[in-house]
Amino acid sequence: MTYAYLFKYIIIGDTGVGKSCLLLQFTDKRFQPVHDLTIGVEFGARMVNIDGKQIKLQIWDTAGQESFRSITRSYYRGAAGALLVYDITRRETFNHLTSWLEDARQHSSSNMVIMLIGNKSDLESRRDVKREEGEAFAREHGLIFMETSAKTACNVEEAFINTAKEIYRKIQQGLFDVHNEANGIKIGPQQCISTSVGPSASQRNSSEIGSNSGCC
Amino acid sequence: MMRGHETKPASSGTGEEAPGGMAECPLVPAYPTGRLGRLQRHLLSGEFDQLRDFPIFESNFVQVTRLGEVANKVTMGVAASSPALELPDLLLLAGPAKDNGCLQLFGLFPLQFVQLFVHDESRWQLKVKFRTGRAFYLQLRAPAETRDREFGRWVRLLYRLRFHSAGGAVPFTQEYSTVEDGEDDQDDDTIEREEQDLKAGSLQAMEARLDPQTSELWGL
Ligand SMILES: Nc1nc2c(ncn2[C@@H]2O[C@H](COP(=O)(O)OP(=O)(O)OP(=O)(O)O)[C@@H](O)[C@H]2O)c(=O)[nH]1
Ligand SMILES: [Mg+2]
Repeated sequence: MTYAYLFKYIIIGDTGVGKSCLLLQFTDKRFQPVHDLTIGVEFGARMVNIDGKQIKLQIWDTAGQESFRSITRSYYRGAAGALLVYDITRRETFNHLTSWLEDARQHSSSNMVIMLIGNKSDLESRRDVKREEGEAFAREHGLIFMETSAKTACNVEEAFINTAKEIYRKIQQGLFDVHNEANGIKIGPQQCISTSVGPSASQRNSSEIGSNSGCC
Repeated sequence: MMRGHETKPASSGTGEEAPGGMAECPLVPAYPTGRLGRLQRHLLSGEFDQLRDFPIFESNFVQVTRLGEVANKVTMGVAASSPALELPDLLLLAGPAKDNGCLQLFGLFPLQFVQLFVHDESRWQLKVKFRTGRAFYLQLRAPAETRDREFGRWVRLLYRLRFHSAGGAVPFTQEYSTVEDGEDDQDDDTIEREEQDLKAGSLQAMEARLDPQTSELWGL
């Protein structure tokens, strides 16, 4: 299957907030009621279409439990997008966001697009964190924000896709160097690099473009 | 393991491929593929920068139920996140993707949270058990001529990992007190039996039967 770009995503946040469920809902359109604690990293992939371009999302669903954290952290590197997830029914998962964010900023590229997700929006009656608090946190830290439900699928597509749109926008604005692997973006195997990168391509060192491309 | 890939019958999604193999991905570049396994080739294909240079020991398996019924295909490998490591520290699991049958990486798990057992030596079956209690069974898929030797490498590996961890910070003996979700009920008897087998000194015998030279990776 061909694609114009591949974006690496990571999903991070406390254990039990629904990271694996969000991924499963996005890739398989299913909900898993039982909590299967993730150990290490589980992978998912899906094609999305942004602006007429096929984009492959390669998603790294990481373990939230404290004991796995030092290991999973090392896999943040090279992510173009991150979904930072908390559970709207458990305030402590919201309180831990700062520490997750610090981790993410420290171990990945500064360009990484971060989507803050307040998950389990279907459990309105048990809500412990107001939507406005999520919005405020996101504003303060320059994140995109959405509330989702991995159970009802509400906003799940949007969360993954809006993150991709934002990454794509940054590519087009030349904010992302698509040739730098550390940015978590890869150009698809069939792509002609010089025609697809957007406005910044012309500014890029031409020897780099030449050496990188097998076609054209 | 990865839910959704777990106890699916082989008929779901892998129907059209040739017997014995997963469809080869068209994206795999023309690397010298001489001795490389398909998982390693997949990681070399360019989508996994961070995992690209890991030394890997891998084999193809089918997932079987405890009673031996065949479910889906799985490629399992162990990898070292640094070439300096004495032993591998990661377990990698991959299998055919649902949509196109191409090999897809499902998960990467630190070996310190995974235990490997011989489940049924006569059928080349291993048991893979996560610290969280989840477990599954894999039967080696290899040509009859090399099957015993290849299985022997896994056996050697699992003993080496075990000895290694016994001296390390996270001994496997902790396992039963740290099972997180307590849903381990039906598996306990099997494990106990396997543990006893191991303690009963069958391991010297096992080690003695293994071919010592063969693989350059971690001396397997
Ligand atoms: N009601 C409701 N329950 C959810 C939702 N998302 C996840 N859950 C439940 O929350 C529990 C944890 O979900 P997981 O996706 O396994 O959590 P995780 O974040 O991956 O946890 P770790 O792997 O330990 O880091 C499961 O029991 C899910 O069924 C949701 O949107 N609504
Ligand atoms: Mg999980």
